[in-house]
Order: sequence, then structure tokens, then C-alpha cells
Amino acid sequence: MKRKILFVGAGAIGRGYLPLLFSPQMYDFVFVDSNPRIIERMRDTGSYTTFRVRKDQYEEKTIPVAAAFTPDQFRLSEHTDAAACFFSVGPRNVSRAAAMIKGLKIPLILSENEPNTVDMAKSVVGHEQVYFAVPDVITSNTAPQKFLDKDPLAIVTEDGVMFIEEGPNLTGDFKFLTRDQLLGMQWTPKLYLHNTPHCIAAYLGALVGVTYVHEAMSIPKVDAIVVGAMMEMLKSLKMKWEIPHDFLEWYAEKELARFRCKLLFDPVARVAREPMRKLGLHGRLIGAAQICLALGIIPQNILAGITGALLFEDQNDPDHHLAFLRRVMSKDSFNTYILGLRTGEPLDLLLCEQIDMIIERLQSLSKEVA
Amino acid sequence: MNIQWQDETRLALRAAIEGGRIAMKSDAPLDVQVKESARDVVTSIDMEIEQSAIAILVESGYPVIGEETFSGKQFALDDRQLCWVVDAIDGTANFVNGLEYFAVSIGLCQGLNFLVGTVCLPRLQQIYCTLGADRALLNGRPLCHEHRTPSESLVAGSFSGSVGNPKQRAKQYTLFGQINDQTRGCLRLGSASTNICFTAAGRLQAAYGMNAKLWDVAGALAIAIAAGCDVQVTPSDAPFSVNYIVGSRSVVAMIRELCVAQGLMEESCQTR
Repeated sequence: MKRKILFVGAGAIGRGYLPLLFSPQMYDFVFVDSNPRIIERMRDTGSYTTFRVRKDQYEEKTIPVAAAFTPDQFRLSEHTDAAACFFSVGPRNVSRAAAMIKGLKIPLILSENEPNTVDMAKSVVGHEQVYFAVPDVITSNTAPQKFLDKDPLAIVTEDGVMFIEEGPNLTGDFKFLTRDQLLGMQWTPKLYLHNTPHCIAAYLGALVGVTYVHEAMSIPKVDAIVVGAMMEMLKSLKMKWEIPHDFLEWYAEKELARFRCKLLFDPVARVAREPMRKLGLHGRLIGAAQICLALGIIPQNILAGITGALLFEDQNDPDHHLAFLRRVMSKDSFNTYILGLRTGEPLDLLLCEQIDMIIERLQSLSKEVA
Repeated sequence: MNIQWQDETRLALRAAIEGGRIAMKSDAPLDVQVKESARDVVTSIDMEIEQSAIAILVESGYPVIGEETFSGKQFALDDRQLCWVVDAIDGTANFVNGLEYFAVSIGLCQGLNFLVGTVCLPRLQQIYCTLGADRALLNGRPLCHEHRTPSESLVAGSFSGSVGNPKQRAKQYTLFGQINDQTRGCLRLGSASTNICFTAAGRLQAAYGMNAKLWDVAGALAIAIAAGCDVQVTPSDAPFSVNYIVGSRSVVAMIRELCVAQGLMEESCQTR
């Protein structure tokens, strides 16, 4: 008998990547998303198309949809037989999404880019079967126009690797790791060798006005900053963590190739969204710069990325108020209250001293490209 | 994104942050003066912050009322008049004693409509503010109060203890005890705006206060409303003062019921 999997969040990862890991002969796929247009389309057609990049070519896949709901339509009592539930809703929405499945005692797997979302979800759902996962993949939330013309839900994804904290009883194309292995060998490199330079590429891409990450990387000065940031983190990771150096070097090369890949159509707006979250104290930008500084490395290129995040302006972004706060607050109070830095610590001093100069440099880069 | 009250929020942020900076720079021994009771104290830092805030906020053209310079005659609550309400340091006793629960609080009100709020807790490195009617931020990150039940709730109260009014005093302590018994506990942190901001952020599930001066709570109430808290406010007998309950729906309802039963609040208080 087929088992059911719930995918809460039918965006890039939830729609474009996770279902590819499971056999439709073994599992029924049920989707929940707050976007009614996605849900209606899934219901109307009973399936959608997604494209996986393999060996520099697109591979077309049809994903059958057993059922699809908006959160308002979702009835918990109808899904007590599900084998597992995957969340890919964004770290800020985990708590709300967890409340929706409170009482459902099935494995909950979070691929949310922030390990602390696991504890947050546990406290809401009231059980311990909550697991962290690291999808080592870039999945766009869109596709080239020719694919969208065929199916507006089409998405392009890489042929990635999914790592899940061991525990859930599931069969699919992924690897189970212990929590220590997952955090040490997968999460740390992903955070600093993928997330850090990836979002820097996106912020610089936004500044120069391109749509996709690969377009940003095709600009030599942007590429140089992203590679520079990668090297700063690579050096830091080699010094700080006991992760084999050849693995880290392979990982860094793999990531740069991904960012430059012309088949992925990875939107700048998707990768750059929610800059406040990406500027979190222990995260991919501020946290990365802090690690470098603690090891005696001046993170000049990561500083350019931080500045790019501060300059990011998208009227539709939930963090659009960041630009307002930057305008109304002095540099030192912004560093203290918004970035969470201690007055006089190295990163605070560096930012106060250099940010105007970096802004000028990035703005001239933007003009040059224009 | 269209930010309502953009100019006012800008001024309120400047005033609160500057107030926080003044509070943090004061490493000299404080000049503490007792006002109406041993618990009611003021320092030269309060005065300095208030002057600084007034100097910034007058740019808006609205009148500014500050705790330390309020004479009682200069202004009455008026539904048609916008006015700034400033508490230079809410929780001066904590400030004097080196505790971190004190705040610089700036609110823009129109009668009992709380429109703009900024509260700075400098020692905790926290700044709360509103961005229009339905957005509240803590250190730039959006706040959304998660409503919980009384048994899941931690509450904080603010009340004077009414030294000169034994009946009122007994009622307030009874209420405090009842809330303490029916929840995970009732705290008295010594700063009403801190209580309310912690509630907006979901660290506490409710905050309440009796006869709170408007400057203690105006900024924080605007933040709580924008964060989605249930907020009940009613003018109290004392001038320029309110009774308030804010927080999770069912916890606010429970406290309100207890207040009404104690005769501390009328049934017809405003809900926002």
C-alpha cells in the first residue's frame, strides 16, 4: 500500500526538489502552501512538471499530486496516516506551520537552513520526532520561459544530495547521518561555503540589476568578490574546524561552479530575500565575518557582501524596512541594535570605518555595469 | 513598502536611541532624588534624556509631554490632538540599582489611540518600534505575538501598591496573587514598558497595570497593538493615567475578569 508524504511549503525546495527524492509508486504526495494559485493549479491538473539538471542537460519529471491545500483548507484529521511531513516554509514561518500540524505524531523533517528551527518546532508540535535536513542543492523557484509556457509551476533544480538526520522510517534517494555528522560535515560547509558566497553573489547581482545569480557571476568584478569571500571562508574553515581540507576545497569549487551554472536560472530576488535574517549575528554574513576576524583574517570581500545586503532594496521584500532603518539610524546605533554588534568590537569598528568607502565602490560597480 | 508615520517613527527612533546612549554613558555616581515615595526616584540622567528627547521631537510640531517636566495643567487627553509622550527612564529604580530592566519610551498618541511607539532598552541592546499600525519590530526583526492560554503563560504586572489607600492596596495584591496562581507566575519587573514590550515579543504572555501614567506605557502599547496583542485600556481615576491589560487573548480576558471582580477595572474598557 502506498504511504503519504506531506510537503508543507510548495516553493523551490518543497515543489522542485523534495518530491524527486521519493518514488511515486511508493508514496502519495500531498502539498500545503499559502499561495492559492499554486494549490489551485495543482488540483486542476493533478500533477506538475519539474526539470532536473543532469550532465548539463535538463531532465523533465512529472510529479503526481494526490491532494493540495492552503493552510485554511488543511484538515489535520485527514492526514494522521501520513508517513512523514517535510517543511520548507522559511525559518520565520516554522512556528506557524508547526502549529498547523500540532497533534500529528509523525516524523517532521525541516530543511530550513537553520538548525535551531528543530527545537522551535519540537516545542510547538509537542513531540521529539523532529529532524534537521540539509539539502545540498540549488533549486530555483522558477524556470526558463519555454518551460513555464508548458507548465506555470515548472521549476529547475540541480541533481543535489539530501542529508537527513537519522530517525525517520522513510525510503528514498537521500542519506541519513547522525546529528553530529550532519552539522559538522554538511551544515558547516553549507552555511559558510554555500550560503555566504551565494547570498553575496545575489546582493551584488541585485545592485548591478541582473535577474539571475549566473548573470551576476558573469560580471568579472562580481565573480572576483564572490571568489574572494569563498577564499576567506575556506581559509577560516580550514583553521577552525576539523574537516578534511580536500573535502572543503572540493566543496568550494563545486559551489562556485553552481553559482556560474547557466542552466539553473536561480533568481537573485529569491537568494537575496529577507536580508535581515541573513544579517543575523551568527549567520552567513555577520557570523562569517566574525569567524574570519577571530582567526586574524580581514574579511574584505565578506564586508562587501554585508554592505550589499544593507543596500538591498526590494519593495516586495518583507525586510524592505531595513533601508528605512539604515537611513534613520547612525552607523554605530545600527551596528548595535540591528546587527547586534558590541560597541568597539572589531567588526563594529571595521564597518564604521569602511562602510562608506565600500558603498561608494559598490555603487561605482553598479554604474559601470549599467 | 509604504511606511505609515514614517517621519514620526524616524524622530521617535532618534529620540529613544539618543536617550539610550545617554543612559549608557553614565558611569559617574548617580544623583538620585526621591519624589513621592522611596520607590519614586529621579536622576539627573532622567532630566538629560527628557530634554534631549523633547529637543528632537518638537521638530514634528506636536506638543511633547515628559514625565519630569509635566505640570498636570499643560495638557489634557484630547482625541483630536496628537501629542508625544516621553518617559526618559521607565524603571528608574532598576536603573539606579544596576538592573537591566529600564527603558527610554517614546509614544505618539491621540487621546487613547496609540499610534507610534519606540522603546529602547539600552542595557539589553534592544530597540522596539512600530512601523505603522500593524508592524512592530525588535531590533529590526518583525514581532508577532503568539497567543497562548493562561496555563502556558508568564505574566508581569505594574502597580504602585497604593500605600495611602489600604483597600485598593489589598485588592491589587489579591489580584497579583490570583494571576500568580492561575498562570506560570506573575512577575513585577519594575518597568511597565519593559513588561509590555516583552509581551509583544512573546517572552511574556500578558502584562497589566493599574493607574499607570501614560508616559510609562504609551510607546509600548503602540508596539503591543502592532504586534497583534489583545489590548484593553481604560482611563483610570488619576490624571493622565490608564489601567491596561495586554497580551494573549485568553490571558487578557482572564485578567480582565479578575480585575472587574476586584473592582479594579470597569466592564466597559476599550479593546484594541
